[in-house]
Order: sequence, then C-alpha cells, then structure tokens
Amino acid sequence: MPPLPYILAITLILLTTATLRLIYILPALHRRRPAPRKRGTPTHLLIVLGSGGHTAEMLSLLAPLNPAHYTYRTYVTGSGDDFSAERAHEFERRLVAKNAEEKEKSEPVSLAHRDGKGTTGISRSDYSIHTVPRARQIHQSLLSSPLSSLRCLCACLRLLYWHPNGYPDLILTNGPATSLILILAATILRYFAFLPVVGPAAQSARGRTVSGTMRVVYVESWARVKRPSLSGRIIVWCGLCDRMLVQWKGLQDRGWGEYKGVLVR
Amino acid sequence: MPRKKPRWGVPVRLIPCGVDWVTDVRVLESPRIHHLSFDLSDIGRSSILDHRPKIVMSIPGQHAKSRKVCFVTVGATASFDSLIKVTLNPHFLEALRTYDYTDLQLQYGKDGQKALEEFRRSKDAMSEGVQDLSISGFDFNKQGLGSEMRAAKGEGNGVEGVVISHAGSGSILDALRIAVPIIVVPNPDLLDNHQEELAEELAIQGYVVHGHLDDLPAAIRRAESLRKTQKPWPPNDTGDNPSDKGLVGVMDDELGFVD
Repeated sequence: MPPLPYILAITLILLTTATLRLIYILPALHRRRPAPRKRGTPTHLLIVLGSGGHTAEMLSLLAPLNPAHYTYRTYVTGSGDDFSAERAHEFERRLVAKNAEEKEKSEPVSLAHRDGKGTTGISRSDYSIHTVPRARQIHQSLLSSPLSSLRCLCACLRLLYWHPNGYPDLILTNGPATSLILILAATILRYFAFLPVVGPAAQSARGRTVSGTMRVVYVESWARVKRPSLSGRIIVWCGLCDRMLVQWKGLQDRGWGEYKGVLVR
Repeated sequence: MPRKKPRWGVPVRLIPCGVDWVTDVRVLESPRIHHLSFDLSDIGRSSILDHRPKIVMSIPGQHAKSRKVCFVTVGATASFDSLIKVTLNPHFLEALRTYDYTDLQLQYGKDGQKALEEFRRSKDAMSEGVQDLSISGFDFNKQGLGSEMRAAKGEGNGVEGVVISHAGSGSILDALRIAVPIIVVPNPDLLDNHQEELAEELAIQGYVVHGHLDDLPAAIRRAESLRKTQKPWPPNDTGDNPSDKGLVGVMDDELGFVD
C-alpha cells in the first residue's frame, strides 16, 4: 500500500493531464486554423437534422451549398423521424438537378462530353442518411432520459467511427437534442484521439490525425431573437463549437455568436 | 334563357351568352359560389369540354366578389385551440366581411376540429353575415402548406388575402417568401417566450402584424395597411462585413478552402 502522498500526487498528475487535454481539444479554449486545402478535394460534411422546424430551416440554410466543394454529405436523423429523412432525399435530388443545370450552362455540352463522365455530375452515392435512436422523446427533458441519451451516444460513436468515409471534416447543426449527443460523441473521439483502426474507414484514415476533423458549426435558429435556444447555450457554455452563427443582430450584440445576416432564405 | 332557382331561393340570372345549348346549368349547393357565368371566349371554341369553363354565378343584387382568403395555421406540434376559437368569433368574422374576405380556411391541428364543429352547430353559423363566408378546415398537411399559402396570396382568380399564424418560423418564412401579409399570434400558453420576441421584432421591422388573441379584428385592419408597406424578403442585410458569404463562407473557412 503506497503512502497517501503518492496517491494524491498521481491523482493530481492525472487530473492535470486530463484537464490540459480537454483545454487542448475544446474549440472554445484552443482555436486552431484548419489546415488549408484545395476546393474539389474530397470533403465530408455531416448535417444533423432534427424534427420538423429544425429540418426545414437547416435545408433552407443549405440551399446555396455547392456539391462540387462539399463532396460527401452525411445526414443524421433521430429514429421515427421519416419526415426529415424524406426531406433530405428530396434536398439531394434538387441539389443534383441544380448542379447538372449549372454545368450545362457553364460549359456547352459537346457530343464527346455526353458519353464521358463529364455530364454524369453528382452520383447517388455522394450522400447517406443515418438514423440514430432519439436522445429524447418530444417534450421530454434531456436530463430525465439518461438511458435513451446513452443509447443515442453509443449510436453516434458507432456512426462516426464506422463511417466508410471516415470522420467528417465539419459538423453542421442548428440544435436538435440529437445534435448535442453527436457533438459530445465527436468530442470524446477527439479527446482520446481515436482513429478508426478497425472498420471500413481504417484504410483511408491511415497516416491522418483526428485533430482538425469534426469541427462544429452551430447555426442558431432564425426564430431566436434575443436569447439562444437551450441547445445553443449548452454548446456555447461547454465550449463545444468552433463557430456559432446567429441570425439576429441583437444576439450578436448580447455577446452570442456572429451575425452574418439572415441565413434562411 | 333558362332560369333556375338555387336552393336558397335567389333567382339566378344567366348572363346572356347567345348560345342556347348551354341549358344544363347546375347551381351548386354550396354558398361559396356567388357568381355563375360562362367564360364566353371558351364557348366559341370547340375545345370547351376539355377546357373546363369558368363557372361564375351571378345573384342579382349582390356585388361581384372575387375570392379573398384568410388562412389560419396553428402548426403541427402543439395545439392552439384558442386561436381557432377567436377566428370563429362573430366579431372577427364581421371584420373579415368588412374587408371583403370570402373564405376562411383553418389548419386547426390535431384537436382543433371540435372547435369548428361546435361553431357549425352554434347559432353564430346561422346568422346572415356568416352565410356568405365560406369556412373550411383541415387538421394538417404533411406535404406543407404551400397551396393554402398561394390561395391566400390570391393565385388563380382571387385577390390577396392574409395568413394568420401561430408564430411557427416555418409558416412565417413561407408567407414572407411569397409576400402575403401575415398576422403572427404567439401562443401565450407556451412556456418559452421566444415566439413572442420573434413576432415583436418582425413587427418592428415591418414584416408582419403582431396580433393578440384579444384584438384579432384590429389585426385584420392593420394587415390591410401592411399589404401596402410590406418589405420584400429576404432582407439585404449581411452583417457587419458585406463581403461575407453567409453560412457557406463560414463553412469554407472552417474547411480551410484556399481561394
């Protein structure tokens, strides 16, 4: 049995290490510029869709997205939310159509081009839609549902870890409960610097690091004028997001996030 | 010229059209129709049958009215019966008639149907003024409320009406996008007051009318002035730095794209 001072010392060292690691990875405490990359190189964007209003607003935000720059998109919905999944499919179809149209406009289609790869544009496999168990039922508090939150967390960890395209470069959310859990899962993976060594992404992850992936952009709902939603406040208080965007000047003036104009169209 | 008597006993005068084979004119039993006539330009053509003539019935003594819709929506998640009840209140219906509304359409949510049925049984529904207002309702449409919004905008052969919304952001945005005047009535029963703040701010900026459950007739009047001054959506404001490209700009930043 080692004497008490040793135990205390070891505990203190471990705690310090843990805290330092946390400070290092939390975006709010340690901001790092992302590594520069060229447009058109493969990127992985993860979008969290919530129920009804959240989904509609998120897809409206994403309308100007260029699929040539955001080459792979993963959508995450809560279970039982077929509506969101359906809307995401619909959104992707529109994105493909818009992209094809723009291509046609920018480069007149020559016959040689027709049969080549040029006009195929974005293929179907450029996005996927995943379902995780709901963190909470509608009108249920997040705290009163530790079990379902835990189930959701496991599903999120698994989703991120086993994703065939590896960790997302960017997580975009406007604050459904599921997104809190997913961001927590991402933070855990970054905290322990887990690289996918097994699973479908193991090959592509070789030689890369976790740091710099899974950056979080949180967009506060347009419906929030003077005070962010609870999700927004939690994310900011815990320092979990790299950028927070708000859609009312008043919120920025009160010290919440950055105002870049009304983003919903 | 054939003359027929509709159910409510007002003689129908067919607008002279000189085509006497148009004899089989049926007067619909709905009080919705004020006007019945044939689009003469279509009768001249052979394609009358596939062209579905416009039927408008004219009742003598009554002013020709084009459709003007007031669309009320309470959203899908929470019920808001008090809004439905207020819109079926005689004072409110009177206000609608004052401003020449012809239709009142309700999206009443999960359990708002009762209020509408109660109203139909009540003596208010029998009163003379209400008779020529067509009142209808449905619970919710998963495909969205686009067609109702467009009807309120007056697409087809109507004039622009108004949308009355529980302050759900989806319905407000829909109305702003197609530029139909909207009255926003936040639900006072909800604990969170962010909808109240949204309605207030939008009203200050001149996009909507902020309505309250106890003064909805006044809101209808204010909506008429909003019709003339409503600002186009979306606003041109892009924050402090006009060269910022909004969300996509921030995302590009975070991905480290070099231009």
